[in-house]
Amino acid sequence: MANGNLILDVQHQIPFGMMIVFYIFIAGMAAGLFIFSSLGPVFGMKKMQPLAKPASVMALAAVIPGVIALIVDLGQPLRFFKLMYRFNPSSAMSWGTYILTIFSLITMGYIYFLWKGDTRRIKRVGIAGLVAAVSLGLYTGFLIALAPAHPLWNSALVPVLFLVSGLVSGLSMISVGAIFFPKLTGLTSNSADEMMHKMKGWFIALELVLLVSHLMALFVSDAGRAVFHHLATGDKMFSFVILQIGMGMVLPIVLLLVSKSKAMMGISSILSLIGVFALRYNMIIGGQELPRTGQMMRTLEGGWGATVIFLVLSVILLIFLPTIVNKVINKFLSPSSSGRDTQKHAV
Amino acid sequence: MSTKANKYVMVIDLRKCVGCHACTVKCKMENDVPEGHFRTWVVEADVGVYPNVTRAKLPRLCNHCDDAPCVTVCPVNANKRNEHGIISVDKDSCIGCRYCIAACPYDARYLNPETGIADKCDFCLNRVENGLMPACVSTCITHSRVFGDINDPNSEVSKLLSKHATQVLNPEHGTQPNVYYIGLDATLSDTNFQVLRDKGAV
Repeated sequence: MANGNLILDVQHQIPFGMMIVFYIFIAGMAAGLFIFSSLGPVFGMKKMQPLAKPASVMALAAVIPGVIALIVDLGQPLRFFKLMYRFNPSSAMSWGTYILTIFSLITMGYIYFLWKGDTRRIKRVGIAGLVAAVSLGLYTGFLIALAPAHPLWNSALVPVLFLVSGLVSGLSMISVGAIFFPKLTGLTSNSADEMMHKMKGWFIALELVLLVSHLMALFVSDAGRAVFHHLATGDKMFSFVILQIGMGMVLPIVLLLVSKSKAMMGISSILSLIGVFALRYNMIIGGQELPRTGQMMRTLEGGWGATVIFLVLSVILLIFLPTIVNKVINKFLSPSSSGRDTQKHAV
Repeated sequence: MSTKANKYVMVIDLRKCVGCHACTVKCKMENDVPEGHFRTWVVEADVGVYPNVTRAKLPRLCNHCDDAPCVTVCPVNANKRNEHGIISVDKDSCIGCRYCIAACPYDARYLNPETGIADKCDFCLNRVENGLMPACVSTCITHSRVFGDINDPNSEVSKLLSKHATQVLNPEHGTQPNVYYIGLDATLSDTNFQVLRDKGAV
């Protein structure tokens, strides 16, 4: 093929920017948090029962800034309601609108029944919520997997990878809450520690397997190889090799193997959260930077400002919402119903 | 008389294009395209080895694909294809989510920073509906761009398509584009990742 010297072309901007990275990170975390919250009440894992209340509220705390970020990021934010009634069955974003809405509503109902102590209803709502949470984790992957001409995106492994990394971030967030803010989040029980320790290692390992499989399959095309080199040896080397794989995946596993202490679990969880955010960043931004036509790299417009604000907002919500919800619900639920609750919130 | 509805396509004869960029300028004036964005633009590259060197040109615009990813992914059905095959953005429905921009394999779309909605070439729908040619076609100094009805065997586009070998951009995406090129140079139609590797970008 002729190797032409490009004289003139138009540089295109990346359509999905940092706000989408943030949203996909926080939505995956919300899905993960809900799934771990349901392990006790729905699957009957006694040891995970103390996680149910705090994790369910944290799932809601993660979804709120995610939805706001999505709306703020629109070119016409005031038209967001059109998503609800102009449904397009072939658009993953249309599915996502309903998945997000249903997930948020179910989570609120689930929280209500959890505090009321209605075991039968908790289980029913929990199962519905589990379906919604898995859909939420998967759809963020389908969103990008269904946009053609992106070798890094167009794979059926992407939704699964996003779901599994969402589980890792959900688990890590629970650990961070339990170790650094036990009073505020209500994660004071130690009964789940051992199981979480084990699960975390396995989920990161699964995440690594999925990631490697996905990257290996990229070698089928020239565009795929180019995107692999872009991540592994090019501009994204720091965020991919060092942040995502080194600090975010390998180091947490090593730390978990070395020590079972609480401090180590906390550090490895913070590293995991950074790693999962880096994964979203590399997938979304890194997947768009290579040209689809022409030979100009595409550029990311706009800075990190809004994203940092939303990250801070979500950290505040994740830490403080469990206490707030606990106080508010206990105030409004009648004494008789909350009195019957044998697993009273620890705050 | 053909009973089929008109279906508009564009044929661009690259042997005639001189790379004057009159189409780019006229399009920006006609459609009030904001700074830094283009509905149509011309890519140029030097190809060949001395003494057989030439300047390849590639005018770019929306391909108005028969199987358009932008229409598939729009969550609010704001991308409309009219009965003549022209795809345009419904200005009152678009929410500016940019999913169509991510999905378009041809980079033909952009988010208009002034209106907050997705924008792209619509074959100058207002002009075509009033019996005029698209602005880029009417301004092309070499008659390189030809616009017309592919269902009419006597139209200029039909004659060109039957007479010459034509290419479309990235047929591997299966989008069935409706902008045809005569004499498309592979340097411009295929992304050469080796060039990016040499530059150290990848």
